[in-house]
Amino acid sequence: MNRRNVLIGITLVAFLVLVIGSLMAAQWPAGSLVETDNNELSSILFNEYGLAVLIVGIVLFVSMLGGVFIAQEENE
Amino acid sequence: MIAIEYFIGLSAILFIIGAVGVLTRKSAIVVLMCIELMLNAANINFVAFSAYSGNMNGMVFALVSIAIAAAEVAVGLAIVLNLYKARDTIGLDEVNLLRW
Repeated sequence: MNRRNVLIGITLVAFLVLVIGSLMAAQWPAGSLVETDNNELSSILFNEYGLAVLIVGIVLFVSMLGGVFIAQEENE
Repeated sequence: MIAIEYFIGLSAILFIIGAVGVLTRKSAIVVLMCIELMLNAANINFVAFSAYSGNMNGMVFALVSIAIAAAEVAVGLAIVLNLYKARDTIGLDEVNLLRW
């Protein structure tokens, strides 16, 4: 194990302690777990965020084309 | 009922595991997998806060985030495949052409 990995480990353990400590110290509002309504989720997804869904579809399509283009075999 | 602190703690631990992998591992595939771990930690936070607040927007953001992660993996794996064809290795220490 080299010195760089030890430094990374120490830094990340300190970060974890900081996050868990602040998590335990904070006063969270006493909310309750709400049952997920699938109809409401689909309504919000396609009504309020319809444009985002379209853009995500375009991003997925372009990434598929990019992946195929990058990985294709070169013709001699 | 599970308190929200447990979800946030799980998400923090998952994020740390991903960050350790990204910063220490040398294989490009493992680094990609660790990036996915970090994205999933963010998704757990989105869904937990969404479920506790009764607001569905967080779940929609999580769905968008999953789609973006899929796109990222598609391009990342193609790059790794090309790297293996060009250099016969996927070790990130060997790829130093663009390193300053």
